[in-house]
Amino acid sequence: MGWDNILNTVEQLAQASLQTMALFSLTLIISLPLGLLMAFGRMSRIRPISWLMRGYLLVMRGTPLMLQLIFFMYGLNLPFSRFQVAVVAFSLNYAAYFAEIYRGGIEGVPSGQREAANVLGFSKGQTFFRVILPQVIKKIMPPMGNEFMTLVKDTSLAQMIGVAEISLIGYQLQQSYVSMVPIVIAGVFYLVMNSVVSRGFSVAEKRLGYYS
Amino acid sequence: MKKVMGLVLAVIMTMLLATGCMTKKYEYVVLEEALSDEQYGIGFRKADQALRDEVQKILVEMKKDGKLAEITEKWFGEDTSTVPDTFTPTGSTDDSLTKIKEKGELVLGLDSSFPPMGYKDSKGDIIGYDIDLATEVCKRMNVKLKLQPIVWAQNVTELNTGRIDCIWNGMTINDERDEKMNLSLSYMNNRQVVITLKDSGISKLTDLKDKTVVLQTGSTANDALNDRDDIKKIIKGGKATSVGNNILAMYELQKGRSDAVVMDEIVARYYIERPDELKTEAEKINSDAD
Repeated sequence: MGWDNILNTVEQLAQASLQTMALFSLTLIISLPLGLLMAFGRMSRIRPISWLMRGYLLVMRGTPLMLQLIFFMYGLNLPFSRFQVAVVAFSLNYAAYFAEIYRGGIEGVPSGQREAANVLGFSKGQTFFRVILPQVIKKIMPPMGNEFMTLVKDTSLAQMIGVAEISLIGYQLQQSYVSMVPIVIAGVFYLVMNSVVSRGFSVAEKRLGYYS
Repeated sequence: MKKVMGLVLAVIMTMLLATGCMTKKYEYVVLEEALSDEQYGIGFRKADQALRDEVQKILVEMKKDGKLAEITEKWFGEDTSTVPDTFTPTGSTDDSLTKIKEKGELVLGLDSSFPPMGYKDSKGDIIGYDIDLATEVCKRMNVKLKLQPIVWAQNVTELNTGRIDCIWNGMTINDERDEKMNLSLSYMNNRQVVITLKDSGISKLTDLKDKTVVLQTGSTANDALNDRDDIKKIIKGGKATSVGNNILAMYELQKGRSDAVVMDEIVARYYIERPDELKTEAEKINSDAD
């Protein structure tokens, strides 16, 4: 591959990385709060809700995301653009993983704290947002970092349903140039994005370590 | 209890999927005007001249004794093969052929989802026109044929790292491949064609103006479209959408997400004449994804 082709590859991949980043961010924006709701559902004392949530989590975490993408796209034939279908599938899938991480964090806070807050006259909402949640956020940072980095790489699955993200363009260029170079460059793009994610988490963890 | 709930949800999801995939009768049309003409060839390692010559020689022999026509007619109804009548070996003396004979087997790399050239039947066995040809060639070379499914995009790497000995799977001859591989002479003609639904109102290439076009990622259809600037320019968005495979591309058409599919004519004809095959292929993809 000559320099012209390499430059062209980088340019096309840079363009595709916008799609990747958009998919990544929108998925997080939707799935982070959604996952919290799901965690509440999973921990609900109303049995049917908790069962339903368990079933949902089992299906979403127990089947391949690629299958879910194809299902939402061509099985349900959702009336959205292919990018939007990808966002829906990714959000529903990642929310399921986040739900379990939140649950782990919430259940890890000793129940004595809840009782103490209650005695001090905190409402349920105040207890959760002022006492529990700040501790949960600190606790779940490492597993969340894992999921964020996995998500960056998982966005490549969206190529199945024709979202022009980095991998799709990488494979296309690999075929047209009959060369490994484009997918190696695509790998570098993922690595750079994940370095940013990783760095972000290090900084955040440091900031959150206000008691240590 | 939670297992039961999970099971119930899984069943519901499967049923939704099944109804979603239920095939209505779709009537496909292949446009008469093709995007490009091309030829299929067999790919060997650049250095393996002796092996390539031997296979080419046997193909020419098969043409002479009628075996080639017999196999071709079995798959295509008529003898459409383009193997030449004569072939003069280049007299190369590298050890590629001896190595294969010593090893006792020829490893053929293929996509295994490219009907009718090489694909899995409903029993999971790999069959196809290329497989029949290769089986006969190996019989005459007195070696066993080993079929090795590969990820198509990695074909050159598989070849150069020695994991496979040849790529024989309806592979289009082009300059890039000619540079990276030792290609056989053309053995069949193919065209990149446009498929639409019958009532789409598309009957020639220029009708693709402002229409959405879909194709398989990394396929020759992609190159063919790139080479046809006149058509590429007029389609919606100025470029085609790439999806994971040809079956998904056909779904795009069925679900109205795209107006036209570009793919190999040989594959297209096969799908259109055998809609059942499209269904089993789809089922296979779903189970593969599991």
